[in-house]
Amino acid sequence: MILIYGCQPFLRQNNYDDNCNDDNLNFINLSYPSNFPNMIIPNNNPLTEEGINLGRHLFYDPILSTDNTISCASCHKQDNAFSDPSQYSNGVNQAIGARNASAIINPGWQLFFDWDGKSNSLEEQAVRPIFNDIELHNISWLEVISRLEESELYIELFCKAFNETYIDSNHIVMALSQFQRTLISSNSRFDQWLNGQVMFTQEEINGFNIYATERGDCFHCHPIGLFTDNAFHNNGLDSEFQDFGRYNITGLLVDKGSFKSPTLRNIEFSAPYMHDGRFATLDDVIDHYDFGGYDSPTVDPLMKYVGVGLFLSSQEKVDLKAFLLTLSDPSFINNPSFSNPFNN
Amino acid sequence: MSCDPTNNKMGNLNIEFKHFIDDNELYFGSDWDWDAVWFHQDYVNKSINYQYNIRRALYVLSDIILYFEDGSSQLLDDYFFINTDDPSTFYKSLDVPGVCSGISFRIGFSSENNIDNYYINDQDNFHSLMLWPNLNGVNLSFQGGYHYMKVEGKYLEDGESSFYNAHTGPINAQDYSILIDQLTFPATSSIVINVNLNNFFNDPLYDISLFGSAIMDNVDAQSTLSQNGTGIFSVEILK
Repeated sequence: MILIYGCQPFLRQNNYDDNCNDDNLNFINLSYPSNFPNMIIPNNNPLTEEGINLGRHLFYDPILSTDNTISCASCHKQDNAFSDPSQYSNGVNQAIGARNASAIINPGWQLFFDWDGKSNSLEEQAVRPIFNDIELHNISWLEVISRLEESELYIELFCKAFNETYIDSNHIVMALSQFQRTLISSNSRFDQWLNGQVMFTQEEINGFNIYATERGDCFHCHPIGLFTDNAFHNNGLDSEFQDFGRYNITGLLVDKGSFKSPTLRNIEFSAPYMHDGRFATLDDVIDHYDFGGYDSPTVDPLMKYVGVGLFLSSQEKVDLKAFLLTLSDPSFINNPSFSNPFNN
Repeated sequence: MSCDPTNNKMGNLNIEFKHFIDDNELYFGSDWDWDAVWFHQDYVNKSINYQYNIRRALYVLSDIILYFEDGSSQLLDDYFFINTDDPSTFYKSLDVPGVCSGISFRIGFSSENNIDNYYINDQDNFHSLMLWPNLNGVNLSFQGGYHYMKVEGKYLEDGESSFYNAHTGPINAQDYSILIDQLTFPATSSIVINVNLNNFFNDPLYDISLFGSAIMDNVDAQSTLSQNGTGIFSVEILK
């Protein structure tokens, strides 16, 4: 068996033995609100200005795909809160995925990645699309690193970020993870209201009361703060499953049809919705929960109105949507630090 | 009444939590078909006389006091979080200054310890899973803090199944946590705490159907459940 990629780093010593012994890395302390937990940062991958900059370039550069056509940003667009407005994304050779590309919002606090939680860290997640047939479609780290080694830009950026004269697969993953940890959204209208900077309209107040009580019961899976419980639920989308979701990872029958609760921050920008992008609009999503969802042996008990419905009035739906829109953070999707560095 | 720190004899107390509906042990996280298993066995709330299942239970035990064979005791500055979706939370290991022979605790947090976002960095995803909403003045029933307990599942009534969410916590800033009296056992370093979840609902009667699927802002339901501390916990020792 040939080990294509795994836990061991792939590295290849190069001829460029210029000095990379500049120890002046600029370590970064990110700021975020007090109602966010401490960010999960591995001890061996502290954030540095240089590492973040490298990761940002790698994120936006199609050089990571086997034919130089697709980058991470092809499916995770800043305008869409780093999700894809298409239901399914195109990878190399126009291959089409089977799930909607997850939004990347506050990933530094996520315990699981991808809709089924197949990855337990950003570093682990960053590897998967590089070798996925329907994403960046590489066969080996060797081919990825070979392309990067041909770039003077990356030789310089890797030197600055990791003080090494070679390009290491671990460093690729670490830099991508560092950049993604900076993708913090905490300046929504809701945050500003909590801080007393703005007043809510009556619709927004009513909507919050629906959201955060069992009238609408959104808050159990999307608790205030990060607006995700970092857990998996079958939210009654289907009575029979085409995609088994979390079950594919755990093998537990109880997990059939369960998917990770996404954050609702910036939900306005990250349509379409659900793991398969089946709902085009927020109104569709609200209608689904108002309907109550479809019953199945594994539907989550938190979907307690399955088969019954919430019976939200038209005004309550308007109110709930008004509240959800307060979770939009325009400064996140317009943050120049998160944008494509090759456009600068 | 706490232990004399100058006379500490360090030891361990290992605790395993097991869950039951009366005599039937529940194996959460196991690979089974929930509906088929639960509704075809006789897991009946005898006071109410209809069947129900428990899909998951999450609860907090705080104000934990350990009692030692020499008559001393120790109040722990930590709490236990049990999540049946995460069986690793069933096991607790404590360094203790003696050999234990008793334990008492509170289901949930006292008002004093139930502070909004206070446990935000705690392990086992506790904060996200147990957060009690704070509506920031919009609805004074909910002023933040944490759930005490979340027991969820289905019940059968007249052949129809419905979901219930028995979630307890503070409403209107009122404390509904439950103090559990000392459970005594022969001095040991390993115990099993058996949790009969059925008794959350039995004494006094908690009628799932009457109180409905959602009870977080139902004072009567919270009050009823807050009186149901009897017979839930028992201890057996491992030799």
